[in-house]
Amino acid sequence: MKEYVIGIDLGTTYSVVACSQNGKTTVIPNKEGKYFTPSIVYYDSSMTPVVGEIARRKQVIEPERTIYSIKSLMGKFYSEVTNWSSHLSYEVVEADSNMASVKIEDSILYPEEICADILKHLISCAQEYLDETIHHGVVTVPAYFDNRQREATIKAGKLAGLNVIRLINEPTAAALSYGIDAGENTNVGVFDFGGGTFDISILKISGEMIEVIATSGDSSLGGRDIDALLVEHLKAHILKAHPETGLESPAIKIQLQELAKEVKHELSYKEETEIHIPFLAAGSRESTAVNFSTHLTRSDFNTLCKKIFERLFIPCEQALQDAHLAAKELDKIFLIGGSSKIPEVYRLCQEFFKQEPALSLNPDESVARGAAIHSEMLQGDLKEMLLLDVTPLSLGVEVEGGIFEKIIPRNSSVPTLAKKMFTTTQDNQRAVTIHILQGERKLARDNRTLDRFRLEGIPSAPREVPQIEVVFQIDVNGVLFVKAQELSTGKEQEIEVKSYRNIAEDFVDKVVDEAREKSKEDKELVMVALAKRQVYQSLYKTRELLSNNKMLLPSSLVEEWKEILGECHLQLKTFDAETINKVEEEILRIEKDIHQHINERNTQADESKSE
Amino acid sequence: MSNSEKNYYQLLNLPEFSSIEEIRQRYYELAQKHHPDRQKEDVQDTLGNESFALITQAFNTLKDPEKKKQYDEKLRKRKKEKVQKSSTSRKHTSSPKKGGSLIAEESFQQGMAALRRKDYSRAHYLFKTALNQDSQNASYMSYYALTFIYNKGKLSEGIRYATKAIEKEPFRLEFKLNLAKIYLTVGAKSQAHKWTYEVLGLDPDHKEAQNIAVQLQPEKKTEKKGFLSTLKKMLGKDEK
Repeated sequence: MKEYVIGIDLGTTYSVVACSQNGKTTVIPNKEGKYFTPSIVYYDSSMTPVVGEIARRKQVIEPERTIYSIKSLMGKFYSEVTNWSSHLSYEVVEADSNMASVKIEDSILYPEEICADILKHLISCAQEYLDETIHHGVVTVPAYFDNRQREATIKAGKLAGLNVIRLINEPTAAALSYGIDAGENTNVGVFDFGGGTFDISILKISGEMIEVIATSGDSSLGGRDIDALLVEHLKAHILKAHPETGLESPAIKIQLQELAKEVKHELSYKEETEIHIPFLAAGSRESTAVNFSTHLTRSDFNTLCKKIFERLFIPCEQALQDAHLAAKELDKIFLIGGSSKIPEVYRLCQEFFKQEPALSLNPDESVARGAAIHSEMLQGDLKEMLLLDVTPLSLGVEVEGGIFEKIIPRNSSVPTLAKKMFTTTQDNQRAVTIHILQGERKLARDNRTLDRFRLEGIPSAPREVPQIEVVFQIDVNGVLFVKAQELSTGKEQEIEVKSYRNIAEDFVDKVVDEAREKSKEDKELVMVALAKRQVYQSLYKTRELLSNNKMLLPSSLVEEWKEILGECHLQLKTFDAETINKVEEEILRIEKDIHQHINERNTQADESKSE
Repeated sequence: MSNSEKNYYQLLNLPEFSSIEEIRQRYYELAQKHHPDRQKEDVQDTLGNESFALITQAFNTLKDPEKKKQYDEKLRKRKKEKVQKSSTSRKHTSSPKKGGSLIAEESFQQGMAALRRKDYSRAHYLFKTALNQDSQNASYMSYYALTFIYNKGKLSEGIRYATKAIEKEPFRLEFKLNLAKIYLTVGAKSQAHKWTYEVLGLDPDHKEAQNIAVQLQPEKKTEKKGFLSTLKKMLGKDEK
């Protein structure tokens, strides 16, 4: 029996989950029977999360406990979000290692944890619908997500108990859902204007190869910005008519936001819309409630959003340039993402790309469907297809004078690597700090810091003698890995790389620790969960051992062990200590057997050599 | 090592200055075989093998018309220099930067790196690549030989290469030590002893040689067991 691998479109405003079988995708309805689950989490007084539609309804009542747009906080430093986080109805604070996090009463929640709650909900919907336990998933991210945002997404999966087998870029996923039958040698553009992010990707599809040739975008440009503009617009009008009205309470913020969204949606199919806000500002200093009415035409709306719409075509220009293509050389341009439904966006695209864009019936589902298709490709059920993606942003280091030196340029196909030599500037210098950044600007300080690595344990030598080779590797998820080696002495020298990644691991551990502290009653369960983690670890270790040494082992046994380990994996879903114990024994037995076989084999080889 | 020192066309196994269409076509073929997604047993391996990452690095430069143009110019210039150099001196067989192939040196360096992180099968492969490019290089021979210890089979071939390397460059202690290590693995103690002490005769403070000498001391536990337990340890390390 084949395990389902689901595709999840983890959106800023909505999330969608889908699965795929034999190239046929199904969007999985949530518990309310809807295909779209609001990416909103409400935390009740015991901090129990409620996700989706029910959480959305809580928004007006308890706005400070209802978390939305959490995707925009993922992997961000607090200092990066302060300019807009004040618009949110909940509190955003600075947590450990300067990361932005959410505060509800006395609890601090990391964005990863909140995303994990959304993921958990989606997984449980899928499990209910498919009547099967889900362990693995492909999760989508905006193409323009940087390294930290990607790592945060993987971490969220981990916290939700989901093994994220791949991150796939949203426009690429969308292209997969359309592009699989696009034919030979076509250049396709995917214009993805979503709730919080904008991406443009240009792909070359030839037969079974889907190659992303360029991608660009703006990771903080989406429908949300349009809503914010509309809110400001409405506020200004309300204050003009009723200068005394207080509009700053979280409840009113939410009310206005909902209204703005409605207005935006209506203007997509109407030329003009009436706006009524009854009982506005109830609860403000004024004892009498204010009723407010106005109207807005589509052309007013277009004028209001002109600046936002203009911003869309800067990345488009960039992507075409990077792809060495003219707009009219694109064979097809797909518009996806909810905000693409705005008629003016469509018109501007038509003008820019000099062709009729394709707007699918369900542009909001295509990303999840594409993720599901990719999950099938990865499992080998759509064997012939292969997806080649790129890294959206240049990656480099700070060199002398605060200059940013690119090491892996944007739109490089992944997985790829690049090497760079470092040396010391002082005699007997034992450590070097490497400042890694991502971005396109010339000066280091204008780009985003990914990490500062410290290379320690450099052998004592005159300056400029040690040669430290640092290897930057980007994997298929677009995540960066760094390795370092000392070359000059020829001695085996382990250079220690201290990085953000370790902090991230600590964080996952901390969450588990916190859970342990939080509730004494749950102690037993937590202990089991902790013990289980160890068992999972030895399971993964044994699996790795098996796959690393399969050449040395009899293939029939390899298959058998693989199967047993798979079975063990399934059994580990339980919280029953005895079953887990048995599973562990089984895993350890296999590990021992593998070692024994390898040893035997080596002894034989050894003996035959010495003869 | 700057990018300009590598020949990307050789990495892609293409004639030099091939067109972008040819390069893309070739890259697709290679990707169909070597992309991590094609390694079905292990979807978790998101980095893939290093050689494919290198191929991708080559593709990333050559797929871009401007970068390709720059690269091609550099390559032409370098080739010209190389022709001039090799016509004036042909002696430096062991110094590939001057006479041999650059890709060989690159592979060799990567091989050494792999060896350092105890990735023996990759090291084996990379040294073999280096040797294929420059079959007369003593360093490549010696280290290629060394990796036979960790990769099943044909230790005799390892001994042959290691010995040849010493013949070529008799003053290199590391080559002698490599041979000693191979003999030690085979269990040919007297030979291992001979080469280890030859190294120690020239450099009594040589740490690695000292270590081997200690292993050669007749002790209670048999060599075989020692080897097995170290191998086990190594495997233990490889697991992470």
